[in-house]
Amino acid sequence: MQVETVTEGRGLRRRQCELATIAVCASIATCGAGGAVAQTGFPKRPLRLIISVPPGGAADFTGRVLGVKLAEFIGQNVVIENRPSAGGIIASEFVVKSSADGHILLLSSSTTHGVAPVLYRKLNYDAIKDFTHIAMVAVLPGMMAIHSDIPAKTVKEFIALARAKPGGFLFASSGNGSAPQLMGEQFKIVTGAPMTHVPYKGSGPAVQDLAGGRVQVMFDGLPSLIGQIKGGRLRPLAALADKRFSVFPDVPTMVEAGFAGIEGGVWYGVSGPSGIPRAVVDRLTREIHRVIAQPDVQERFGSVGGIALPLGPKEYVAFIEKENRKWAEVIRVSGAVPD
Amino acid sequence: MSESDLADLPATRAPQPGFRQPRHALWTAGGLLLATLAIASGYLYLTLALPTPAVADPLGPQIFPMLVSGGLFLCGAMMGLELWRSRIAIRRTALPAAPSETSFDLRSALMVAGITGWTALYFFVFERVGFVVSTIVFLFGLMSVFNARHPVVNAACATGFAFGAWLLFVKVLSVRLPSGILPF
Amino acid sequence: MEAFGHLMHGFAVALQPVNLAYVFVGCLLGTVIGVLPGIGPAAAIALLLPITYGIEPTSALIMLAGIYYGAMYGGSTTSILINTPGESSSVMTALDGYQMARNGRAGAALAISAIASFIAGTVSVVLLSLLAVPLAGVALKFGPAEYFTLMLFAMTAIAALTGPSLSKGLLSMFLGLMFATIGIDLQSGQQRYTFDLPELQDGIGFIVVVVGLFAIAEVFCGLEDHLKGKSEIIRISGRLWLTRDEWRRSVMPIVRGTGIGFFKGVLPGAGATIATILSYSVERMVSREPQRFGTGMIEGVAGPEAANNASTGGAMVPLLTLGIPGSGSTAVLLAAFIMYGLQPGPLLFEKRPDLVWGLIASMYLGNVVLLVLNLPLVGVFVRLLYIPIGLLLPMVISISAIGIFAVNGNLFELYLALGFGVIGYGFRKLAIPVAPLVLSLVLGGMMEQAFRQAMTISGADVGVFVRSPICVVLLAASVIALSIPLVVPLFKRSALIAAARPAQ
Repeated sequence: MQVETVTEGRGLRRRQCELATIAVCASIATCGAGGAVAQTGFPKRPLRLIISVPPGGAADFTGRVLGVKLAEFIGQNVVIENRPSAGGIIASEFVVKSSADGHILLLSSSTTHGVAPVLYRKLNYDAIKDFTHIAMVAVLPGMMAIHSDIPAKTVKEFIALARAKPGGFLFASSGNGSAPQLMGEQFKIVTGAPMTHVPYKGSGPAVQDLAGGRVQVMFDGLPSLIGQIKGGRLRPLAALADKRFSVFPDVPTMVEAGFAGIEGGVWYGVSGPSGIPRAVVDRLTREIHRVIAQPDVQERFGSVGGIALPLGPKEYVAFIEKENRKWAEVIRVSGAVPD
Repeated sequence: MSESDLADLPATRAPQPGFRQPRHALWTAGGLLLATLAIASGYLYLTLALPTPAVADPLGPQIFPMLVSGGLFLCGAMMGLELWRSRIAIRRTALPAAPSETSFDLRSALMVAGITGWTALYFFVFERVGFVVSTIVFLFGLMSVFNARHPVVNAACATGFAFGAWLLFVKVLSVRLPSGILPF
Repeated sequence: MEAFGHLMHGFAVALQPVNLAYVFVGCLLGTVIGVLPGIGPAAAIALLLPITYGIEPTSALIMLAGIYYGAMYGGSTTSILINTPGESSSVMTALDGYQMARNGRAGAALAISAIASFIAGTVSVVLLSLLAVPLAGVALKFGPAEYFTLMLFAMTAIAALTGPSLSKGLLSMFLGLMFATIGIDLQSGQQRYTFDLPELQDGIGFIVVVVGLFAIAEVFCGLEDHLKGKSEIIRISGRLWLTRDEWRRSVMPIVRGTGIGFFKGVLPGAGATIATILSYSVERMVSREPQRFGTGMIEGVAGPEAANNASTGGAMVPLLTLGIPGSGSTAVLLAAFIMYGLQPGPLLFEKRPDLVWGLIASMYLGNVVLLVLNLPLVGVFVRLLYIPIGLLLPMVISISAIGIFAVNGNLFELYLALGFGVIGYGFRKLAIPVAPLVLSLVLGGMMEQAFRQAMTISGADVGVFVRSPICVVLLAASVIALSIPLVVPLFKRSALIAAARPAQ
């Protein structure tokens, strides 16, 4: 027995030594390889695109479409990583703390950079200064849809009905601080229509209650509403954009319906941690804009009601700041969310 | 009436009706009661500290938590009642002592603390060192304690599992596991 | 019988060799990944979605359906063998299934799980084919008030699980409710008990709690027993297969479970988990020996397993007809649909019948494939129990870590699961039942939100809860369910006293 144990022990030690040696050699090899490639430029290894929602969300869809095409143009794989959390905080924090060499990117969105900076006052990062905003990708404008039993064919008729009903109408949203809620609050402020907010956990349950008639109106992107609109249970009243939707050419924009200042929707862009070298940023911006100019990419965006919007770094930052100001005002006036 | 029928009755009597409660079981029950009251108080305190939002639904975010903390206090009261009854039962009955299921065992507690600490360490280095390396070390450590006399088997198992899992999940299923210090 | 014609056409699509291959691969992958504690159908589909890129849409969706079913099957296996529910809908299976394994009936438990799932899955697909269009409107009749009363009825299942000490059972339940309140309150946006940690803003994930309380706590207990030399190696007693008695007892639970599961699945919102809770509760209500539930009753495995799989068929109804996802898994399926340029909704049946019926037909096939895959594997899985404890249990911790990390890549969740593991160990030592905590955690949050939503919609009018017939029925059912455990023992006691008297 004793002899056996001794042999086993030695064998184990030898095996452990082998393992350790392999590990050390491998690490040295990697460092060496990395150093050599660094001279030849960006990108040296696969990119990681961090998405702040679980797989299946509209952001996830956009990110994946973008990632697949970008990988073709940039010569390296683009790996999608989902790091979901409320307001995209965890994804944002992760990217802010990563190395600024352009390999780790965030799919910034209206949730992470439009609304979160004004909704959550205790963020560990600055939405503008701690990031390098590289490019804007797409915009998904919102739409106002009401239950088809309500006898209103225009926005003005709807507001009149709301005023006539004691307590006004109920509007659904996909959660607190969500785009549907903020668009609804914006509508309330501009038109003065009496509405009460009913939050749901996600767009699905919200649309369900809307189609069931328990709430009367919702402001959301096309993908969640289009099924019920085409099925006849919902009626679209207006598009919250400056152009009409191509799928609904008869539906006026808010401006055409008589109300300016009600514009909103979800948007997406690509950002990285602050300090990415200028050359890398330029390359990424160029390639991303190339991707979203492709007809098949535009078609896929269009299938979810998205419109490609190629903004560069400076314009993207300006856009984000404008959005922050707009939503901060809406939140302040409506008293929507305390923090 | 047999013991099993006794068990069917609404359970307001102390557990293990056929036996006298051993002394340390009383201490455990008492400790649990204190812990319950502590949790209930802490939760109530945090609930009262919640700001009332300006615009909210008719009920507000505080009502439900207050009901829950009320429920926790109720549990505390029920436990107190059961404890009181057990103490009376101990003095009255001459039944044999119950098999000590809830005995406090220092060795077990240390073991659990040890495993917890080791696992926490595993999680701590999980991303830094990578899945494969941290898993091998973690598994080998635990296996060496609980499967002590077979170091070769342990090492083989640990390594085999780590690489096998990596192969299956990262390569085949493209699940993301941290690579850490290894090049893959 | 137009539906029948469509279905035949759908089979023609599904039976093409390439699609058959996709079903098989999907089922296999789904089972493998569903075995991981913490990864259920939703996470499995989400994780494996990238694999389906580049495949033609109909085939890709067929593969995803295979993954969905496979993951459901995989979760049951670990529930029964190592008390490690793969996902929230496997929790009820673990309650009696694991006890069956401890009694030496692991093979029977696994077998009935596979068979119940097959029968329920197949029947639910039949029901889906026939009833999809007529049932489309049902989901829309359920608003917050109805959901609240449904959850209330599901909560009465907790009364079944409190065990001998009422105070400890209630403690477990209230702790579960307490944990459920952590996070951002949906109605007001107010952060509750998050201590400024972003990881807690979405609340404590159910999967994390389940993995901690079951898998990790089980490891602690198992290793403790091993150290004390009290190792119980779970031997297989008797036949690996079901005895005639077990068969007989399982028939009605499967029937009831299928019905409950399908109709609950039609209602969007945590379909599978609540379906299993309802099934377990109903089985206990109609059983002659309700107090033996929790010790290894096969009805407690057959019913929930049937409900589990039936709900996947049911969940397809709102998805395909309304474009409304019924649960996490169908939400990801919806996303997959959209990605392939399809818009589920009232028009999908008309515009793309080949896709819809092809999908339904491959769900049939998925059930068959899984039965064929899993039954022979019962013997293999059961052999896993013979691995030395000192080797098996550490690997369980590692597998759990993979399962949790794979979904969100969040280290915090790993620590949280470990914490719950310690809590679970403590519960076991103190004889506090774990199931009420788990159930309250799932149901509590939803109940609170549904109640407050209903109040907002009705304008603070409490009468809304008795206005619709659905609400009234569910409230009555809740009252009945709550009173059964209290009333039955009274009857038995008086019967026993009456019986004892003549002997004196």
